[in-house]
Amino acid sequence: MKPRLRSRSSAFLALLAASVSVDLTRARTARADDVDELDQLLGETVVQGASKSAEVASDAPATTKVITAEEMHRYGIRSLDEAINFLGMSLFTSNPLHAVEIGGRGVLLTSDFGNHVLLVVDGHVFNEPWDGTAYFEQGAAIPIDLIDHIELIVGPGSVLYGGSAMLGVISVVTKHASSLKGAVFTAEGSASPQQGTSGQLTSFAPGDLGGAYRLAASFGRELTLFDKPAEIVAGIELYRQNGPSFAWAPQTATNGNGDPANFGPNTAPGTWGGRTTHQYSASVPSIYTRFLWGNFTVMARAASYTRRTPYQNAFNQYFTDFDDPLSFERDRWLSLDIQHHGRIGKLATLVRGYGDLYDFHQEMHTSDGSNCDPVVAGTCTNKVEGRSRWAGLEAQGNVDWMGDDRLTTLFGADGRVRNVGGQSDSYDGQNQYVGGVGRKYLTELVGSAYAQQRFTPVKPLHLNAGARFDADPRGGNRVSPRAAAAIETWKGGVTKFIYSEAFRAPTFYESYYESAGQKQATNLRSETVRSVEASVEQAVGKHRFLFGVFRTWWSDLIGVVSIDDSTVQTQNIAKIDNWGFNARADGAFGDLRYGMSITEAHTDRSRPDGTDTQLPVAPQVFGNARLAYDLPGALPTVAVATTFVAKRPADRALDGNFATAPYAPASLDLRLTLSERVPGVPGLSYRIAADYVTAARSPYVAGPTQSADPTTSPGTNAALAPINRMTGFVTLRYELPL
Amino acid sequence: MKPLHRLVRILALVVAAVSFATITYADVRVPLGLQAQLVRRLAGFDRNFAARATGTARVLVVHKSGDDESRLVGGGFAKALSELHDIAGVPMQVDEMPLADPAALAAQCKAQHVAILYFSVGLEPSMEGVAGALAGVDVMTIGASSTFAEKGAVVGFDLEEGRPKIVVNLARAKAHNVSFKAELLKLARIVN
Repeated sequence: MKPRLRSRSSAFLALLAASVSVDLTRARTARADDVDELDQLLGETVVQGASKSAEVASDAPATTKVITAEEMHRYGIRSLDEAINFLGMSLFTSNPLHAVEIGGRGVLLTSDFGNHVLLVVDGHVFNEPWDGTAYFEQGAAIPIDLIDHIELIVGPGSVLYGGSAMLGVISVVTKHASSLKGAVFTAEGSASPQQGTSGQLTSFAPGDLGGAYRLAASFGRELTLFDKPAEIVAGIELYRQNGPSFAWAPQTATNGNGDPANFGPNTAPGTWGGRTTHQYSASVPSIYTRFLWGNFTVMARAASYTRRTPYQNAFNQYFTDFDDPLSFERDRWLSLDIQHHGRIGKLATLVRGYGDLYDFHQEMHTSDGSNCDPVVAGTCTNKVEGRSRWAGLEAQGNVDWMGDDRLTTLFGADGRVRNVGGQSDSYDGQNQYVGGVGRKYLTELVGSAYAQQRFTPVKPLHLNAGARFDADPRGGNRVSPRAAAAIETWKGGVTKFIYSEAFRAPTFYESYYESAGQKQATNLRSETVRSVEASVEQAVGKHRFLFGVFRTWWSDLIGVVSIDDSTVQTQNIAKIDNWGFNARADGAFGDLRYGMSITEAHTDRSRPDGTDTQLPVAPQVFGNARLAYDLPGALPTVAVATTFVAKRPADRALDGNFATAPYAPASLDLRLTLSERVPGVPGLSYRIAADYVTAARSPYVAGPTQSADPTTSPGTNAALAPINRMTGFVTLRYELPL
Repeated sequence: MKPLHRLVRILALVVAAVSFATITYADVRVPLGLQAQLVRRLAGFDRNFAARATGTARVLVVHKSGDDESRLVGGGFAKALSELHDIAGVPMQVDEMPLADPAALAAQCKAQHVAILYFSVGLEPSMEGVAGALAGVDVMTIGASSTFAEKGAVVGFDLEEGRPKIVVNLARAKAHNVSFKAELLKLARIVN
């Protein structure tokens, strides 16, 4: 890996040096009306998430990447995970045909349900406290037409945000009414062909197509209410997906009694496999609204996310009949956030009260009663419930001591009460309760205090230091510091040095779950990460380049270990050592826009037995590239985007004992998008896109064969879940000024 | 229950403290330092700026009298601009004052050959009246947000999808003898 690293970094540095030399030459002949200089200023991105205050990204104490709504529309982006993969930098999502997994800079902790990345929307944390879960595909349940821009803040972010911000913070900012100026209606439909067992496209017949649709309406209006400026922004969206249909090679299996396992009426006894047509679907209705009046901002959100996974696996669906729509997962949210901004002399204040209701419900339906606990004859359904309700108050103060943003102090405190709990119950074929495990509900108090000092002693030097103290009954107390320096080293160039730490408190399940076969965890500590990074950014007119290196150390990673022949327990068991580089370039030559990013990492996980292994599923090389050109007149904007990922080990590659360790192949996802206004119809625009993925397999072992016993079944190999390889979609959008 | 009671008491204290907070305005979305750099550059695209500046470009920053937020934002912009030493290659002098009377302001701009007049937050409601008083005065008026351009300033600033945008009121530009080159107008959002 090292020679490749050197050659890639050398090429990038050469490009950077060439740009710098051009820029220095240009500086000697600068004119008052230099368009390039103005372009450069107008190309600066303003971020708020890194310091919780508005600043240009080049001054921010973190590596950031801003993705705009206009870019998302141009490149055919339909969800947060597509935005991250096609347009982002250093973060990556992986799709197991249910909720996507998210990682960054070579670290992805499979089966974490997104709890190592914090999702924040308009300042409201979306990760819920039962499992720390946030979703990043359509399940994020944010009407996409309301998104103004997305800030990807890469690296540990607990200094201002607390737990779960280990890989980064994704901050979504919704539009102001001035950007909407009326109503927007969107209708979108997509279709994907049927796929065979090897991922081949087997049928384009209309009856065999899978697909999805999205209907959305959003609205924005500025007004004056009781002599104070006000605005309302609201969006409602319904997303529904069904298919495509996949074919699965047969796997034979026996149940705990040694009998052929029963996978239901859609496949032969003892055999899992065939074609799924009823068990790959999703439904996401959501509504989001924000009302601003004078000093007050009120945000409210309601959403649900129901999905079906077409295969059983080792982390979200342990058992299910084959192609059975009775097995599903559902999340529901209700959120309210009220903010008040004020000023007392030099002190700018923010007081925020928030409350959320969340519940999770899963049903795993099986015709083989030996899967349930207790064992029943005939069919049974295991129902998992998770619930969290939380409410809190945050108070924040910001003092600009000199009035010019060169010496500012931010401080704040957050107190929250949460009621969290869950249970897992089994029901027989007549829906009679037969038993349950893990039932526990409790109320916890969580508190934190944070402070950050920003100081610019001389104009080119921007210093930032902060720390946050979190008191969490799960995992104990933590202090998460950060120190950063951004130095304007030469014209248009910024060098950054950043040290930061973050943590993730154990989830409710990790801390409290117990059953006959699992002992409750004791003395479980929070997972922690420390990170150092350095980067150089260069702006030259409309072009921007970044090259950075990073090193992270992860400790106390939580996992399940056997403590005797019949019992497991959740403990802090693993460490990760990770280093690498990330780079990006974007800009424009007239009407031709381009962008690209690449991340290369080396990651080792240390296991309790002292061995070092790779991290399953986590890509060590990934990136994206894109080009768009605005054709003149009524001709469309043509955009090509691609995201690529290198070969990586599957989730059970290291512990499945398969004859050949399963790896997902390297993959390229190509998307072509045409977009333009419809001639002659004011307010109407279209977007047509086609997407193709080169790889047929994802890094997720599918089916009942999640591991092999070399003594009883030598030569057993894993079957990997398929990827939806081809999709075409059309979006129509109508803007109605009001 | 005791920790919950404590939380409720803290909540009550915070709410009480907040009740003393004066009104604040929508965030100045484009950071002041970036606004200053943009002002420095966009002045160079005004064909009449050099003639208006007559050797030293006088910049007058006005804020709302008795309003802390307005004074701080205005002062912050003035400081950020002063550090840049020149505007479009012309040396500058930056002064600050509270807005008293629009007619007096107009007279001051004429008498002192003010080249740029910057309005801090809080003055949005007064902008239409001020614009009326300034009719015919040779000065580039700039406001801290896009609302100013919509209400009668020549230039305002906005954030579009995380990036700064120059907002130009072409009718007011003409009224104030500001003639922007096409290269700037191509990059700006035009309002009337």
